[in-house]
Amino acid sequence: MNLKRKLALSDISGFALASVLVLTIFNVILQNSLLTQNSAGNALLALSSHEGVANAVTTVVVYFRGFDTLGEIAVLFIASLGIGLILENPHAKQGKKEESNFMLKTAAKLLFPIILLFGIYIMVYGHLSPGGGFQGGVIIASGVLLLLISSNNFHMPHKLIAILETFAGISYVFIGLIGLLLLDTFLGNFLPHDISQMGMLFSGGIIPIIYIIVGIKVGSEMSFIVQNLLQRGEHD
Amino acid sequence: MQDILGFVFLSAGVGAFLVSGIGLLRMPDIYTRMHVGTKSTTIATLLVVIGGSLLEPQWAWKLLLLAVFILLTNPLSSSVIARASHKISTPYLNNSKRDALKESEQIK
Amino acid sequence: MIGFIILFTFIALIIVAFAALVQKKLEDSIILFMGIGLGSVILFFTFNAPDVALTEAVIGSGVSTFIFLTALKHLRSEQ
Repeated sequence: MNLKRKLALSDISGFALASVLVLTIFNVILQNSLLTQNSAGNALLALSSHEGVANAVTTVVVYFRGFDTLGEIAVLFIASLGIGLILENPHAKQGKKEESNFMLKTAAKLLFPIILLFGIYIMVYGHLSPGGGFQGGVIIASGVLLLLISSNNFHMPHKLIAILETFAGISYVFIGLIGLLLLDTFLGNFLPHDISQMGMLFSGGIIPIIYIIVGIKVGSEMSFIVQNLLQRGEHD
Repeated sequence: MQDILGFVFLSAGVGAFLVSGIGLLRMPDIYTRMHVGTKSTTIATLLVVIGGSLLEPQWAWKLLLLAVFILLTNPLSSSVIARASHKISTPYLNNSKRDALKESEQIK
Repeated sequence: MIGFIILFTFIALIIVAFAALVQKKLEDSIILFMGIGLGSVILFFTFNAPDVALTEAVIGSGVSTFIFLTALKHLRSEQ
């Protein structure tokens, strides 16, 4: 089978797949079953209200499946470790890149605190509204990316990233172990989580704390990945 | 009265968006497209923000923040994209007369 | 009405994704991949998750495009 025929075959199969998808979505939306069949969601909502957290998804991600989230951030850690091993060059020559103009530099300095604030907001409000640690961390990493591409001599210190990441990982496991000690389950909710407090900022016991920890870890790891990719690009 | 004024501002903003969309299709090279795609969308977004704050007065402060943010970022991104495309020497129209960025670099 | 907006966004997403698959130049594919991110911003917003929509706008058009473009640059420079 030559390449052209293969391409034509993939075209046809792609069109077939796309049309099947379109028909399915037509069916789903026109029957409005997307909005009526949420009984599983209702059951989860009823369960999650025991923890006093307004956002059911956060309760599932951080509390019911908290151990899996620990594995997830471990996967992210291994990914950033691999990128650092392959790409990091501590003897990178700085100042080879062309200087960016003053508008970009000034605006990056102006915008970075706003982006940081927005990332922290999304991290802290993860148990009240959609969002949370993963999203907030990536927003902080995008702010670091803005500083990195605008300024020539900006550099995230390796030690800071190491300290933040180690602190976040250790405190995640530590909170889980305290839960194991006090309530006989890993990541047991040992802080007060009254249902009457639901929807307020200080509610849900350990769940917002864990999401903030996840945010710190994701933010530092993503900044590390972005910085390694960019610095490797400068002197190759 | 306030509602009518708000709707007038909103429709003016949507009209500016429409003009910028048509301009993106009609303009010949990247620099004129950049002109259309950011100048008129900035004014269109500001008009929509003014209309929204007239229709819902309790949102006015949040919308003011939004307007400041748009005024900060939209011209900046257009400037950066235009400079980058000038740096990789994207061709411009044949009947363009002056290249001010090149002249300023030669003076330096 | 909102159902039709969701429907059109889904169809546009499928078309853009297919167009991203069949592009000859990899840069064009990356730019079209950004388009998928923008479509999912609209979807997240219609599903009442504005924070996630903003995050998707940041990730889809900022960070992931940057990572793809840098990887492409490294690949080109090593060839």
